[in-house]
Formats: sequence, structure tokens, C-alpha cells
Amino acid sequence: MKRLLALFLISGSCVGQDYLNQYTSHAEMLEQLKQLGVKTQQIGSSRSGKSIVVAQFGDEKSPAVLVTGNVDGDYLVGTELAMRLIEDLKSGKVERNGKSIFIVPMPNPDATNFMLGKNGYSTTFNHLETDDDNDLKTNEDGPNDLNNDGFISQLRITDRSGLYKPSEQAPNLLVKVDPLKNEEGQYRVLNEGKDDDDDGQLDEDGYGGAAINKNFTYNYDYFGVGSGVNQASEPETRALIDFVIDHQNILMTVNFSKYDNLHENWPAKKVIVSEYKRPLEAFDKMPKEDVDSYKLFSNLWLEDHKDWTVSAKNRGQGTFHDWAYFHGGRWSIATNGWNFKQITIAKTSEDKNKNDTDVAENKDDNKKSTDAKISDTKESRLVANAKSKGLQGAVVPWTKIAHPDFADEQVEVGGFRLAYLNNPDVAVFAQTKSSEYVTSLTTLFPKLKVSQSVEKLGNDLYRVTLKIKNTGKLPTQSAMGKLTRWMLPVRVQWNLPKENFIGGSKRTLLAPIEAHGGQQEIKWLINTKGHRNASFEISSPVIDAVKQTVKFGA
Amino acid sequence: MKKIVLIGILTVTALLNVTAQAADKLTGLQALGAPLDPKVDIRWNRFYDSESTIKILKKINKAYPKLTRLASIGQSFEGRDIFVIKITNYNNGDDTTKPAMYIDGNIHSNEIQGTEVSLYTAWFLTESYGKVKWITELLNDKAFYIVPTINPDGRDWFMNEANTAHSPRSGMVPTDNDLDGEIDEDGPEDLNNDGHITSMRIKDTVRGTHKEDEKYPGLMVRVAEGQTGDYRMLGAEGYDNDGDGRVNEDGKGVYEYDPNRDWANEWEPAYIQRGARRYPFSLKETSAVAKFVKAHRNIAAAQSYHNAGGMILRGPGKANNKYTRSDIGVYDFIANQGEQILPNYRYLVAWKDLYQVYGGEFDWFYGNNGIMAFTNELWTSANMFRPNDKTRDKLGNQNHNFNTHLLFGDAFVPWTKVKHPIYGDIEVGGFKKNFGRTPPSFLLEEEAHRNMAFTLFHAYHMPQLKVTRSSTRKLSNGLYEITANIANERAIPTRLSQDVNNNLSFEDRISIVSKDFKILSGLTVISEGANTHTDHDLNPATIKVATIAGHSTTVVKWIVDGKGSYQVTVDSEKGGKDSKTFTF
Repeated sequence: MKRLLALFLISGSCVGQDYLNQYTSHAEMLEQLKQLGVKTQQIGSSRSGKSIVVAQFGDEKSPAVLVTGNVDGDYLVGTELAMRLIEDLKSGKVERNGKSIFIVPMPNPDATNFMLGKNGYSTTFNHLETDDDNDLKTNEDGPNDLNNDGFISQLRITDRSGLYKPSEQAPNLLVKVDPLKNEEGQYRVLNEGKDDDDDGQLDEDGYGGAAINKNFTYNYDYFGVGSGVNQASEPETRALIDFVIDHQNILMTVNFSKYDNLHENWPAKKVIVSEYKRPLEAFDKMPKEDVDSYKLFSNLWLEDHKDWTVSAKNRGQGTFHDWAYFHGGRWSIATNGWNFKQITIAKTSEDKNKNDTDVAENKDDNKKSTDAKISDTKESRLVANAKSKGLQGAVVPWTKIAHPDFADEQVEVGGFRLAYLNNPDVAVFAQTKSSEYVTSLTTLFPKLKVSQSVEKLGNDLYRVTLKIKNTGKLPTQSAMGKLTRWMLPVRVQWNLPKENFIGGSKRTLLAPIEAHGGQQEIKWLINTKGHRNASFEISSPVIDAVKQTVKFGA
Repeated sequence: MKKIVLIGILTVTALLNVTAQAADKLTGLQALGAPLDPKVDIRWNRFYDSESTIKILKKINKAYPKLTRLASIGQSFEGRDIFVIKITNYNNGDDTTKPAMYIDGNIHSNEIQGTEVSLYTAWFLTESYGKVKWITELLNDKAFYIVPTINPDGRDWFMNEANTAHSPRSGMVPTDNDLDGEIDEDGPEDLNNDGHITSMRIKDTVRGTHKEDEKYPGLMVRVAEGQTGDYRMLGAEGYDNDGDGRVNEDGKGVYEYDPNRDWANEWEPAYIQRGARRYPFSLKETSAVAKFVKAHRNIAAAQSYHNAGGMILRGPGKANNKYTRSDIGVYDFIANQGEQILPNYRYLVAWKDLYQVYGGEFDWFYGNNGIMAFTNELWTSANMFRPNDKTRDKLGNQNHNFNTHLLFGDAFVPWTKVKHPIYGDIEVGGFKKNFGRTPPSFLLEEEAHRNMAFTLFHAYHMPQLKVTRSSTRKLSNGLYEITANIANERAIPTRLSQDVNNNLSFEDRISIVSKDFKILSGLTVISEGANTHTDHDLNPATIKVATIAGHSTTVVKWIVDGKGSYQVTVDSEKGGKDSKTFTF
């Protein structure tokens, strides 16, 4: 396993080795899946023709969870956590409680491969020549490695009207000033690059394509950068949508992504969906009926990840995790899978004093000093982490260069490699309980308990009453699932000919049954002529079927 | 020997045939409109199935090889080819070099006559080229991409299977309408085997709710509150095939998805927009059109033919969406003329005047491509009797009167007894599927011609660019100023503001080439009087302009360092290309 190997390397010395090579490439992913002997199928291809594969645990048709890795493209962590889940399921470290788990570790392989490739940089795009600046040329002006260190980092230009200044604790780290407090900056900050096509703009048409996690149909950003030519225009997007829609047994999706809806759930509507009046508009909030289930998902996660400070948004535009719920009709969870609080910093005595003061001050928010905030940001911990572990290509020292577009100004290259902001060295998230979390979700599935009573009303005439109880922790259908029609209702199907039913039908679709003991009673009046017994099956793709026989006579 | 004799006989027979034909040839005077002796002889008073539409296109293509190209833009779900006929004067330039109009019909399976209108247009354009000056010039300057049916599967299903006038709207992709896990398991049944799905009634003098109208026999009317009728109505022909207590709820083509909710503008899923599928362009047919349009960036206008209701529709389909004021002005210019060309048709804005549509075709054309697009709802019952002041109050039940007095009863299936598996003895009857949404034979040709005329008016007003004149002025020693005028002689701008605002196509480029001097700077004139300009400093020989408005002239200037000859070219994706060489 490359990941484990990388961990080993990091703990030793790895001078000269780009830390980002710890992350799994497309070829490595395929190789690892092969070595693990996991059942896989290809569900599509990227624009450049790279396979999108799903690893499958359990039966194809059984109630299931779908886990996606890095849909974003620049969030390599997602793939690592998905691969870790595959290893953990394979090794038996975690159990799936009879449910199936589908895992797509690398849904956006083009972006990953570009990032990990030669002269790569952070991207969310698949591989498509695009003319982002409408000048009849494609991909002609992207970032450039101006100092030839093999990494695309940042530019800082000395400029008192800029919005950045060096942090007091770590001079390599730039922090934003607050102009409303009359603070003055020292630098303008840009990505490392130059104006390659002489149009007066920097890096406006680089490595092109569509950002897969902006290409889904929900809350789509029309004509946005990287949105793609239209909703679901990309093969990667369609591969995921088709897989979900064609697998009605997928009850929920878990997405390791830049978004997070566990620490702060989506906002909810005030009225329940059934009271909502048509014509409907696109939902920007979740139906009230579904709020409690999301609380449950959150609480399960927070048990193991209490101390995280998450600032990720819970929704985006055209993202997969929003789509999976608001358009795909499945429960959908997004989590970062790592948090900067997982970086432990060796404290100097001065720092320690400062932090002690922080603790005291934090009790009273009004007294909280700006410096204290600066001392514990994601960026500051990342800088410290890079320094203490000697990560190559994470944070680059500032060096002066002559820049063709800013000939009269003082320009330096350095700062963060953009990839590092999202993807720390993999040791950072070693303690994340992501595999355990995904598998714990399989204990929540709706579960049916059926009790029957048979009443003889006359010769060949019987009334059958079924009490159908949901003993699971989720309803049989979410409100959004019912509304979108992509989560099917529970169906009762008899094996008697339809002509035998006097009251009720051979086939009945049930309204959603609430979680934690919700119950429905349903009756049939049956002419049993020629039948001594009959059987029925109660099922839905996301619920294990219940089959019983009813005896007439006596 | 025998062979020669045989050939001899064949030749004689052939000769006789020709002579017979010549002798049989009908002569007379042209009724204005259609050509008198078309090369391709087609009846325009009937409907054609998908295979016949292709045969007609092939005939036109064979008769007019220099005016037409025939190609398949893709295949339907059931594997039928979707044909486009491209029409222009290919002798003076390929279709891709001219502003083009895209035309389609029949997106909804039962809305069939758009196909005949499209075919008629292809036929009329080719037959009139070289005969009618206006048409000749139109085909010299512009191109047409006509796709008579973008839903051949549904077309044939509508024609060949039992249906109502309203079914099927969908194409033929199997769909589980009722979410019971089974697909197309409960469709209607043609109980009397007449190819039409009509109504069912059962004699019931106890609980009857309906009786036959006294004035219009066959027409079922509800009896007054408290009275008992002779019949109960049982819905459309069919029965509950799958035992779920519902009738005809999940058959093939029974309304389940809508190809005109499958386009990628303001697309919303089925819970918001009924008829949508999993994502835009989920259908082979719509994606074939999208692919074709994206590959033909010279398309500047679009028209779709639906039925029914007599409407010239434009977007937006989404409530409170707004087109820009300047674009609406152009839409209004075209459609207001259309209301005159098409009597009893009304120009309507979909969401405001009809209903909301997310993911409709015309919004994709306009919103995502900056192409001005209309949808015509063909055939209006107002054209049955075209009432005037005297007859307006005496129309009665128009359907029944039209059927009685103009169609002599042929539009109605009389009530006949059949056996129903559940109800037993019942009767079925009602209007045929080809009544109500489609015109009768004698109005079909008129509808084809008038809708074509509206569409050609639209096509005529696609941008027409001309480098009209150029003048020069000496500034100082060896320094000259060249002024060039670029006119758009028609109503539609090269780029609608929707296009400009969202960068949907490339900017128009006005360029100068000369071997005799260097181009020092290039300027767009904002106001000649106030002497204000925009300076194009990056590449002065090619001036980019956002758009060239309809019926307007754009003025550009170059400062050059010598004298000689030069060529001015305007190049616009949707507006075509024009060049002129000048010398000074």
C-alpha cells in the first residue's frame, strides 16, 4: 500500500521527495484494487478516457450505501479515505451489517492525474480543451512555474494597497488584513503565473475542462467558471448520476469532499412537504420531515470528531452531495474527512503561555485578540506541520524573481502550494474514523416487522390485516426521496390472481413509514376460492424484503 | 436474338410510356404559391410516417443535389435515423459559411404535422429556387437545417398503434410511471380494434350520469344535478392489467416523460417539472439535436413546430425570468409580423400566457446558445369556421358541426358494443386520434405554407453583414486614417444580448489586411460627432466588437503608415462573413 509506505517515509527523512506523491494516482488506484482482490466494475470514463470504477462489497441489489472519494478533483484526501474504507472492509476491520457498500474512490481521475503529474497544479477540471476567455484559443494561459522548483505556489507583490501582510508568528505565512479596522497590508497575492497570451489577464485560460463537482444539476451555476457547457454535460457527472439512479437500492451517499453538512446541517423548511403548494420551485432547503435523520447522521459523526473546527460550506453549486439529496432523493452526507485540529504542534514555552491565555480569553469572546486567532488557523498549523515534518513542496520559501508582467515591482514566489491547503500529508488524518462512520450508518437502515391476522367472514371470504412496523432508525422513504420519486415506496405484492381481491388490490404501494416504530395497518377482503393459502412480499429496494404466507381455512 | 427482341420490346414500351405520360400531362395556370410543375411531386394533404419522411427527403435531395445535403444527426432510441436536410446554394459557399436557420418538428409524438410543415418548407425552398427571386436570394445568403421529425419512434407509434389525439407525448423509452418496479405493464387496450383509443360507456339507467346530446348525437353530456342519465362513463378504452386498482396508468408511451423538458436551460427534475428525466439531454433524440447545434455555430435562428392551439410561443418558460429588453424588441418584430401571416395565431410568452416550462427547447436555444427561437403550436379550432361578426354567435358545438358538415361524420367513431373483461357489455366511441390537434386535409397545406412563410420571414432577418464603404484621410506625413463601415442589413443582431452577456459565441471580428502598409492602431467609433473611440491596443489589425445590431452600421478606423490597397473583412459566427478590397 502506497499510503502506508508514504507514512513510513514521512516519519523518516524524505528530502527531495514531493510530499504530494503520498497520494494515490489513477494507475496506483487500479493496481491497489487489483491487489486487494476487490470486486469492481467500470461505471464510466473520464473525458481523457480514464476509467471510473466502483468497488463493490455485498450484493448488487441489496440495500446499500454509496461512498465517493474526490469528486472535487483537487481534494485528494477523498480518494485516500475511500481507499482506506476499501482496505478496512477487505481486512474485516469494519463490518457492513449485511448491507452493501459501493465505493467510487476516484470519480474525477483527470483532475487527480493532472495534479500529480509533471508541472501539475491544483485543479478541479477534467481533461477538456476549453476556451475560458473566449479568444478562439484553448488552454493557452495557465499558471507557470516561474522559479523552476517544480511546484505552482503563489506570488506576492510588494504593495501597501494589497490585502495581505506576514503573520507575526510565522513570517512565511501571509494573513489577510482587515481594511475596516484601518489595517494596512504589505502585499498583493496572486497564483504563480504570467500573462502567456498577452491579453492583459493572468492565468485566465489554463488547463481546461469542467469541474465535475460544479456540473451536477442541482443549484447549477450557469456560465460559471468550470460549470461545464450545461448541467450534467460531463461523462464523469453522468456516470455518477446514472449509477445512483440505476441503483434504487442506494439509500444514502457519503462523500469525502471539500464540503461538510455534518457539522452544520442544511437549513430546513418550516412546513412539511405534503403541505407545500405547487407549482414547486427548486428547493433551497430540506423538507422538515428529514431534519431528524440528518441530526442522527451528525451526532454519530460528532461522537468521534468532537474537537474539529469546520469552516467548510454545507452546500455548493452543482455539487454531487447536494444533488444526491435534492435531485437524487437519497440521504447525502458530505465530510472533509480531515481537520486542521488533527495537526499537533510541538509548542514552545512562549506559545504555551499564549495558548493558556487564549483559553482564559476564550471564555469571554469579546476579549479574544486578533493575534490569538492568527496563532491557530488552518494555515498556521499547516505551516508548522510542513516545517516540523520537512515536507517538500508544501510551503515554499519566498524568493525574489523578475516578473515580465510586473517589471517595475518587487515580486516574490513562494508561500503555499495550493494543493497543500486541501491535502496535508496523509499522517494528519490517520486518526479520522471515516471507515467506522460509514459502516455505522448501515445500522440505521429501515427494517420491517410484519404481523398478520386472518378473519373468516364466510365461505371463501376472508379479511387479512397486516400491521407493518418500521423498527429501523430511518423512515422507509425520506420526504425528499418520495418527492423526487427516486426512492421507491414500500410495495406489498400478493401471489393470488388479481380477480380474487374484493377489497384492496393485488399490489399496493405504501406511504412512508416513520422510523423508530412507525406503523401502518392495511386490510384486504379476499375471495379465496381455490386457494388454501396465499403469500405476500413486502419490499422496497432499500429495505430487506419480508415474505410471509397466510393460511385460509380453520 | 431473343434477347434483342426483348430489349426492343422494352424500349418500345418505355417510349410508349413516355408518350403516354406526355399525353396525360395536365396543363393550365399556376395558382400562386406552390410551383406549377414541381420536380418532386408530393401530396401535401396527408401525413407521412417516419420512413416516408425519409423517402421524401431523399427525393428532394436527388432532384436538387446542388441545393441540398442529407445527413443523419443521430439515431432515436429504437434505432431510427434522424435526418437533417441542409439547404442553401452550395455553389456560392458551404452552409457553414452562412447564417443558418434550424427547423424541427414532432418533438411530441402525437404532434405530427410539424413534420409535414418542415417537409413542405424543404420542398418549397428547393422547388422555388431560381423561380422566385426572394427565395433565390434567401438561399444564396442563408442556409437551412431542417429536421422534419426529431422523434421518429413516437411518430410511428402514434400512427401505427391505437392512440388518442393526446397520446403518446413521450418518446418510446420504457419508464415505470407508477413506481411499482415494473415497466409499461398497464397500457390502454383498443377494445374495438379500430386504431383509436376512444371512450367507454356503459348503459346504466339507475346510476347513469350522462346521456347523449339531443342536438349532437354521439356527444355525451352530463345530466343535471338530481337527474339520472342513461350511461356511466368509464374513461379511456382499457382495463387494469396489473391488479393495482388503476387503469391505463403505465403503458408504452403513456405520459411519463417529456422530450421538451430535457433541454439544458433552467432544467429542473420531475418533482418540479413534470416530464423531466434524470438530467438534461438524457434522450438520444435531444442530445443528437444538441450535438448538431453545438457543431453548427452559424445557426442564428431556430423554429420548432408543435400542436395545438394557434400560438407563436417564445420563452422564457420559467416564471419571472426575463429576456433583455433589446432581445425582446427583436422577438416582437418577428412575431408581430407572424400574427398577420398566421391568422388566429397569437404571439405568447410561455410562462406568462401559457404555463411554466423548465428545460424547454426554445429556452436552451436562446439561453445557452443566444439563438432566437420560437415554438409554434399548430392548428387552432378557430380555423374550423373562422367566425365573423354574423356567424360568431351561431357556432354551436364546433367539433360536432365541423365533423358533420365538413368531414361528413368521418372524424367520429360511432358508439359500438364490445365486451370488457370487468364491466361486461359496454360501448366504445368518440373522436378519432387525427381529429382535434391536427388539421383536416384541405387545411393542412395552408397551415404548412403559412407557418413556413412565418419561419422564412424569421430566416430572412438573420444578420446580413456587408462591408459597405471605406474612406481614407491623411493625418500627417505618411500617416493615414482608414474608416470602414460594416452594415447589418437585417433585424437580428449578430449576437443577441443574451449571447454578449454570457459570452456564448466569439465576438465579431473586423479585420484589415494589407501588403502595402503597417497597421498602427485600430479604433471602434463610439460617436463620430464627439470623436470618441475605443482603442484596440492588443491586436489593432483585428478589431473585436461585441455585436453588430440589427439594421445598423458599425464604424471602425485604422491608423496606418502608408498608402496602397487593403482588404476589410467582417467575420461573425452567426452573422456570416463579408470582404471587400479597397485601394487609395
